[in-house]
Amino acid sequence: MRGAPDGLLGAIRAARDALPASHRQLLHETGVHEGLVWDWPDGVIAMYATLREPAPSPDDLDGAAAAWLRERRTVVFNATALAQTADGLTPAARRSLIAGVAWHEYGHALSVVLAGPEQRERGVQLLELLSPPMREAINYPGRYRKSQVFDEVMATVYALMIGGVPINGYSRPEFLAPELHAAFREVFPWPSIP
Amino acid sequence: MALDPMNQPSPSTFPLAKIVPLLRAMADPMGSGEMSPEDRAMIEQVAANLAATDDERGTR
Repeated sequence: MRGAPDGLLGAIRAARDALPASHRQLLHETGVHEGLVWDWPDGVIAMYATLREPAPSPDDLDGAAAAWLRERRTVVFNATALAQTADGLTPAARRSLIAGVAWHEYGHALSVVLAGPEQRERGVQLLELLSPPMREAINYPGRYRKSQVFDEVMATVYALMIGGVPINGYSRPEFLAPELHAAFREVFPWPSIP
Repeated sequence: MALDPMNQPSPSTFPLAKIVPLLRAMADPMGSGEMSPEDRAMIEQVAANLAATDDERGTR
């Protein structure tokens, strides 16, 4: 990892700073870090090699915008790919893009830490409750195992819930089925507003 | 370092290919087709950038 001349890391940290205080605290308490990797996937693999630990395979990281490295409690972002993806955007659009990806990843990290095995068994069932555009954002079946679906659902819902706070406040948005909202609130601390 | 598949970490990744669907879901969660001009412009530019990157990589 190296510095971010174009402010990518700043945009990611701004997205983290925009989370509710209790979520920022949880990320802090669980030791979740974030980092940029410019030479993807070699830079990710090198993080493990430095620690003399088995590393993920390049195939596992291929085509990824970001990855949650459970063993390292680190969210790593594919800096080169994200910089190319953000090319030509206005500063506001660039912030929105990076925030969307970052909120998804922070939601994923929190879900992995906070959810239990019984909740995780409901992943595929909850996937079916997502609206079509939300379901389209999750590559299942495809990239994920059945056991990973719950955290992916929570990550996607989390990104939309955090992004929607300025519009919806903390109440249940219309696009979220009550059962899905309940599952979300079982995992994430969320202000109780009728 | 030789890798033992049993010990090899399996990171959970968010694919580049799912950025546009995620942005679409954030801009129009119900799929009504309505979104702000700013969101639409952002998503179109991001989709174009990702397509150009795919062309460079020859992946699609």
